[in-house]
Amino acid sequence: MQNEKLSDSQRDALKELSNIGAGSAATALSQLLGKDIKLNVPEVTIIPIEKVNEKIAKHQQIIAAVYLRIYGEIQARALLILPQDKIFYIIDLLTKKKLGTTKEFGEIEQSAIKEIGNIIISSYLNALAKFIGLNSVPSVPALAVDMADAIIQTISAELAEVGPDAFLIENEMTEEENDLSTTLLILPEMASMKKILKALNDTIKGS
Amino acid sequence: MSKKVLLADDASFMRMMLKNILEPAGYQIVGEASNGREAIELYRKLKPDLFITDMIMPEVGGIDVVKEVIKEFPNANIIICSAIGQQTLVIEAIQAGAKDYIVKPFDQANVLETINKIVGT
Repeated sequence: MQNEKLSDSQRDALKELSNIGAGSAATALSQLLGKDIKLNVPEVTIIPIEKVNEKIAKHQQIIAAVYLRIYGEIQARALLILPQDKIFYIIDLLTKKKLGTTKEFGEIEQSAIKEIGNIIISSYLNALAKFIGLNSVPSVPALAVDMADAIIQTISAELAEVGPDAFLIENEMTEEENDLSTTLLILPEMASMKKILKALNDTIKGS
Repeated sequence: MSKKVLLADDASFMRMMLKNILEPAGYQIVGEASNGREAIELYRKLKPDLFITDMIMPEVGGIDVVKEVIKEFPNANIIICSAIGQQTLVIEAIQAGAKDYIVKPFDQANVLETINKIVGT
């Protein structure tokens, strides 16, 4: 599968799938925060696994990474990345504190970030089930808050266990003037990546 | 007398959110569990009027928690509260004995409507 090009129709189907997932994720975030969230069309690409580190490393600051495993008809890992300043802002909104109050990650803040990650990733899994009929569930989420390089080291062992390609989904979301964009990496095992692409093909043919 | 509620979710934040909705509405939170095993043990001990549980939890998952509780307490009022809204899982939860299913994130009105439907106030 490595370096295999997606057909135009597969790319369209994947984009549609991401739109549905991003739409649910934005709705979920909006409900959680009690704020309107504007969403641009998400960018979805398939990247070789070696490029995953680059995508994380581009955040030259402390980031929060919510990590979980995906089980069921798809076996994968998922990683949601949010820069620390955005997380503090989200937590202030979520806990209805004055903006700028949160400056560190206590137990309740960590729990809140994990839950946001869980809800956003689950939005994509729900979309996947609805759109291409593959049911899967996430594990309990784990959280790492550190410099991007340290996060890369933390997940490197996990990256060795997945297939050669990953889905990179860049969600551009804004709340008023505030950028709440997230980077989501879905790292399927090789057999699962094939299953997803086959299901996309079947969906295209059936539509 | 206020109804007794047991909450099970590995995320303390979500338990706090539910608590903030339920207590002002007159419900009494009698216990909180952060994993499935603890939830089953607390259910046996507290015998609440209502049990709200997450689906994905450490040690024992939500569906197995429901099955275990229903086996011992067939009339238990259980609501699953999970971010996973896939139809197959909702059906599985209901078949296991849950009375309803709330998809996260939830709003206050939806939570109270669902709960009131099952146990009233």
